[in-house]
Amino acid sequence: MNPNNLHSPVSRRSFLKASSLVAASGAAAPYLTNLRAAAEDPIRVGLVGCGGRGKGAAEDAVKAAGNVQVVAVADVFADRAQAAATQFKVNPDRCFSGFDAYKKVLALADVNYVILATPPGFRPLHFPAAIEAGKHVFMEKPVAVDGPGSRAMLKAGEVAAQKKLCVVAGTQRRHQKSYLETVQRIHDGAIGEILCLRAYWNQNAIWNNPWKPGVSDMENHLRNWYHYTWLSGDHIVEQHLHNIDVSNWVMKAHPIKAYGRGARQVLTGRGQIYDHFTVEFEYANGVRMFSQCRQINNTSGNVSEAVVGAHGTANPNSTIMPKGFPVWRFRGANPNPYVQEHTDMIAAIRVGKPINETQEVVESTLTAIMGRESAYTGQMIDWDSTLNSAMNLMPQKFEFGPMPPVTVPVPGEYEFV
Amino acid sequence: MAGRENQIGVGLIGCGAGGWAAARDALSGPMAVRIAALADLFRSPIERMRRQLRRWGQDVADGGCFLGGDAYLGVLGMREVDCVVLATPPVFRPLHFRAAVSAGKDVFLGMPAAVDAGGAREILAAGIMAERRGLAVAADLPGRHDPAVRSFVRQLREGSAGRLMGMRIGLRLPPLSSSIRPPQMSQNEFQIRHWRSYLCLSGDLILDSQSWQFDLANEILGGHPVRALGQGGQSAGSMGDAFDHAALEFVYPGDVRLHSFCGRLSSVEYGESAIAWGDRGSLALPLVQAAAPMPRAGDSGAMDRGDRSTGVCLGGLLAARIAGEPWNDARRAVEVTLTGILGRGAASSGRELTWEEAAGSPIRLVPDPSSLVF
Repeated sequence: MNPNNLHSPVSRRSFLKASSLVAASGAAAPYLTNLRAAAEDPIRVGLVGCGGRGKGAAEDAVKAAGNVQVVAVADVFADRAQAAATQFKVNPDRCFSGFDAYKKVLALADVNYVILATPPGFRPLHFPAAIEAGKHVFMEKPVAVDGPGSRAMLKAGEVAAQKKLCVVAGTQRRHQKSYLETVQRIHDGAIGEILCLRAYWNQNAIWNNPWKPGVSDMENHLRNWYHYTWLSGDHIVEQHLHNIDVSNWVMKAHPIKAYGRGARQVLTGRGQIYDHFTVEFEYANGVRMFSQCRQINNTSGNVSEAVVGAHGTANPNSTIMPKGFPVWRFRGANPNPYVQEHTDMIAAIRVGKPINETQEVVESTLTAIMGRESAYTGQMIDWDSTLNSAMNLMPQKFEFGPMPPVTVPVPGEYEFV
Repeated sequence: MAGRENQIGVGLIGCGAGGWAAARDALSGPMAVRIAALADLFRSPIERMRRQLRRWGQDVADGGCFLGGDAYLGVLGMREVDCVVLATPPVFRPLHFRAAVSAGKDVFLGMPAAVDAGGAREILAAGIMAERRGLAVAADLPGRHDPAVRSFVRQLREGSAGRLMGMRIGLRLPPLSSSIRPPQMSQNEFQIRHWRSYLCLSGDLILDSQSWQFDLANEILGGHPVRALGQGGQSAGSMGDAFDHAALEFVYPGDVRLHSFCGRLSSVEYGESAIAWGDRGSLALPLVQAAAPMPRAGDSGAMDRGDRSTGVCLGGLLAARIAGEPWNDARRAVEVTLTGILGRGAASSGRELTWEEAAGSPIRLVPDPSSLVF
């Protein structure tokens, strides 16, 4: 991997251009689709990971354009795979289960569009394999839970670029018209130089499946995956990544340092994730992003981002509040971004102008990991040590058997390497 | 000229680290000061303090040493005491302040001034009484006297960062030590001896550690916050119920935000104590050693650190007293304390709270602090 790529402003700018180009073509898509319906190349979707998000993403892909069909499904659990096969009317011989089910989907020659929607820990295993198999990939965020996984993702992203494959990540705000227009205005200087940012994902506690006796540790982990760092990355990575990604998008950069704190204050039961984090991220130019995420019941909810500029403030989802000038608020059609991201990707495939979001989503994933590790250790963690970290959270082997006990990170005792 | 009329008699109520620092600073200033009385709940801090004072050429007579829950009344009853230093755990502050004002003493007020809003209101009321009686009240807000802090405030006031849009304050402290209560020691005594670990005694980490930073922020941002959101918790499994980390976001008028962090998690320090940004740039305040929080009570290194400028506050108070100038920090102390209470409430509840909710809160953490005394 070439670490320079991560810092290259040139590649970042060209990405943004490509992104707005696709967004523009996406906006015109309904007409194009109607005119070109007969000539549309078929999109044959292989779904890897048949949980709620996977099935939702597959539904969104089908809605996103004409001639899109789900033709194969895979999940570690047979019950999950079968439910998805039934929903999408997938031939039973194209319904796979087990840890290597993804390989069977990737081996199908007619599958040209793979949706990776398993728990994020598996992404660095599945994505390189999908790129190796020559598939266009739509992958849910986050795309890794640790440094080694992030590096594997970056490497595969480069291979994807060489192979001219499309890679779109489930950071759907980057495909949401209201965000696109507002961030464009921020980039155009509507609030002046950026002084600081805020990012929040404060919500109630999430689902928490009880530990099932008589079932292997591994199955218990997988069925309650959100609560294990090796699978979800913890909620700062799994969920709050969205808001962190918006900050990075606005800044056209990633932070270089994080000062974090958090704890498992209220959350009980098995598992190891925290229920709150607050992180002060610092970008190379000294600008701070103040991040909060929380999953605790009966607390104030807030899922948003804010940008403070020298000449005003902005909510990058919709609103520019310039000091001394009228407020600008996004109005007009704001197509469902969960569908739009597939529309944009399918359009890019069909016009032969691949988009590749790997680097951006890996940077945001690493940003969140950096914040998490700072909170876990109670120390400042910098970008390079996060990117180059040797800490591999994945188990030695994937099989339904015992798992080592998990521990809740205790600052001062926990070590990040 | 060592006559009583030319000497200021100081009484220390609380002989832990705060009391030590105040005594040292009072004695190192230009004023003729005599430490006339000592009070503490426990015998050993009084003994240690007397030994140290002897080394500094001050002999506190047996009759000036008071032990136990009513010890503060003994100090306040002494005619030789002109000024008292209130340096006990904060839960006792409103009780002691009220009594000190009633007794007509000048007061050096340790911070925070209270652990809850009810206590803060008592401080305010007693502060008004002090004003009417012409008593001086100096709060332990060393940022008001630290040259680096003053220069930071001055530069911001002169517009070196332009119109201010936000500010960050941060403080990291080493973890508190945990210990096990000896079987013969009462729960109350154990907790008071380890008061920083307990919310109801210390006001929690936020109030305990950040008063001077809140004061700085309120001074720079021109008032108190209107609301706050925040998070906090205990991640290192330490003793007691005090948070070991908290992160707050205060909203000031005009949507200017103060981001505030404190933690007892590691030895990694911030590069600066505060940073403020405005439409013309940002300005950082380097780490202010002088304003570091009080060392732990009984910490043997406390006297050697030389890292507090408490004495400038106390010295200023004493000088003002000589000059007959009015000095009353009570309102400021209350505003700072309520800022901390607002932040603590937001972090503890996970709810966004308004200033009115926090300042008007009826919650008393300890309805009758004198009942704590075993």
